[in-house]
Amino acid sequence: MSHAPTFVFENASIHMKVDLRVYRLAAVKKAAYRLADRCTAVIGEIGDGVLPISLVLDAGTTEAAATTAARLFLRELLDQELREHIAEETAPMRALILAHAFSRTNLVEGR
Amino acid sequence: MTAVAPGFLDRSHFSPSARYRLLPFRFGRFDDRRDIVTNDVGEYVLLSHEELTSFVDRALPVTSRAYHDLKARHFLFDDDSECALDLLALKVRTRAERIASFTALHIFVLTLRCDHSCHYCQVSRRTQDTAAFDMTREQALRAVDFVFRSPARHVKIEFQGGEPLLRFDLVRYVVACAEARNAIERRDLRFVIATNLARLTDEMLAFCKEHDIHLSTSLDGPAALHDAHRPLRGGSSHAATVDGIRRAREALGAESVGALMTTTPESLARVEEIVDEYVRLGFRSVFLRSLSPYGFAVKTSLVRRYGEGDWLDFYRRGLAYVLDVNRRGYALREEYTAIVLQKLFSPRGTGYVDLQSPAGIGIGAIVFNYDGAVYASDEGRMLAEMGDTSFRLGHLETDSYEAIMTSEALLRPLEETMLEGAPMCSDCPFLPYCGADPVFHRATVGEPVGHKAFSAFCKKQMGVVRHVIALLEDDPAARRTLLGWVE
Repeated sequence: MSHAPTFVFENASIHMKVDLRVYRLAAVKKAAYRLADRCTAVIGEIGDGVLPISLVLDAGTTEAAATTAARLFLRELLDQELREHIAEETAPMRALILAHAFSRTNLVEGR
Repeated sequence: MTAVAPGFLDRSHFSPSARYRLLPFRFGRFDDRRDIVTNDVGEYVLLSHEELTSFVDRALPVTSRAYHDLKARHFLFDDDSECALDLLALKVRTRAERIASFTALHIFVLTLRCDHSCHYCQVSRRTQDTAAFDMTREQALRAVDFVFRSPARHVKIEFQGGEPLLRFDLVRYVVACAEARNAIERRDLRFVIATNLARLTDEMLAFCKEHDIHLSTSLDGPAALHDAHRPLRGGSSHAATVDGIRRAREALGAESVGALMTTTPESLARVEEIVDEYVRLGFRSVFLRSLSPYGFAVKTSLVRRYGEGDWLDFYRRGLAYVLDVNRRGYALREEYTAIVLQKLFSPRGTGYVDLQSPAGIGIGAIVFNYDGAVYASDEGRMLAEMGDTSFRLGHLETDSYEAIMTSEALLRPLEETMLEGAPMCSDCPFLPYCGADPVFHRATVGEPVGHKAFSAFCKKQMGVVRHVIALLEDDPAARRTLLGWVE
C-alpha cells in the first residue's frame, strides 16, 4: 500500500485520505490551520488509521487552483510532521538549556 | 590501501566524528531554493532542502559548509562541542534579561489639545482651549511615583499629547519631580518630548538644554507631502517643523532631535523624495512607518487606502534607496531595518516595544493618560479613544501599582499572545525576529492573538525580515552597510 495521500476534486473541494502511521494528527491540524486563508479543512473520523480530509475552497475554484492548494497542504503537512519530529527529539534539550540558562538568576525564587 | 599493523588504530578513528545531536530549532521555506533554520537565540542559517533533510537525518558531512555553520550557530553539537551548551545557555539568559528589566518607557500624555489636525492622528486630539483634556499636577506626581516603582535601571519619560508643548509648565513640573526622586534612586533617567515643534520657544530650548531633554518630531517628507495630512492653523506645518529642527539643533546639538515619518497613500510613490528630504535636512536616520489602525486614521478611512503589500513595496524601494545614498557616501540608517538587525545580531535583541514576546505592553512601556487612566500601551489608549477600553489597567488616583501591574487586563493578553504559545507563531522560523502585538490584533480582528494566516502584522513583519535576510545573504555591498547599523 502506498502511504502518499491521493486527492479527488469535486464541488470546489479536494477530498483526500491521510495515513496516520505516516503523519501525526497534530501535524494535520497545524497544516490545516496554517492554510486557513486559502481553504477550510474539514477533518473527518479516523478509520483503520486513515483520516479523511476535505479542503473546501471558494465556489467556482478551478480544478487547477484546487490542485495547487492541495499540493500546498501536502507540502505543509510534510513540514509540520518534520517539526513535530524535531520538537519531540529536542524536548529534553530545550528543558535542559532553559534550566541551565536561568539556574543562576533569582527570577523564580529567592528575591 | 596499506594495512594497519596490529595494535594501531585505523586512520578513520582520528577523523572527525559524524555523530551529532540536534539542538532545538525551527525551520520554514525561505524562497524557492532555500529553507531557513533559526533558534531561540536569534541565529539563522539558510540551507537547501536537501541539506535540511540530511541535517535532520544525521547524514550531513562533517566537512561541509552547512555542518560548520550549523555547529557554529548552535543548531547541533558533537563530540568537539565542549562548551556549546554553556554558551547557548548564556545567550538564552542574555536575551531574556530584558524581560526582567521590566518597564523602561513611561509615556505621560500631558494634554489631548493640539494645534494640528492631522488626518492620521492616532488619538482623538482636541482643539478646544480647555483644561478638561489636560493632566493635573496631582496625577503627574502620582505618575512619577509609579515610574520609580519599576525596577528598571534605564528609565525613559516621554511627554506626548496632543501637543505637550501646550503644557510646558507640566513638563517642567514632571522633570523637576523626577529629578528630585532620582537624586536618591540613581537610575539612568532620560526625557523625550514628542512634539510638532510649532510652539517651541527659546525658553523651552534653554530648559531642554539644562535637563538634557531630547526632542522627537514628525516629518513626513517634502513640504507638499508633509502638509497634505498635517494641517496647521495659520501656516505650514512643514515650515514650522523645519524651523524647529534648525533651532533645536543650534541650541541642543545635532543629535538632539529625531524625526519619524508616517506613510500616507500619497507617500507610496514618493519614497525617494522622502529620503532625500531627510538627507537635505541633515538627518542620519529615517524610520519608514506604516499607518496604525487607530484614531483619525480609521475615522477618515485613510488606513484602508493601502494594504501591507503596498507598504512592503514602499519599504523595499525605500531601503534600496537608503542603501544607494550610503553608497554615494552619506551615512543614513533606516530604523525599522536597524531594529530587525538588532534582533538578528545583538545578543540582547532590541527594546523596541512592538516586537517583544511577551508583548511590550505594560512591562516594556506604560502610558499615563491626560485623565489619570493608566494604559498598557500608547496604542491601548488610542483604542480607548475609539471606545474600546480593553487595555485600560486602572487609574492613578484609585489603583495601586500592584493592582495595575497584576490586573487581568494586562496579564491575560500578555499570557495569551506570547509567540512561543501562539498558533502558527510557535513553530515559525521568524519568531526570534518578531513580536506579539495584542493591541493591533484587538483593533483589527477583535481579539488579541489573531489568526496569523490573515494577520497584516504577520505579513508585514515576515516581509521585512525575509527582505533583510535576503539582502544580507545575496548582496555583499548591502550586507556591509547593514552590518554597520547594528549597535
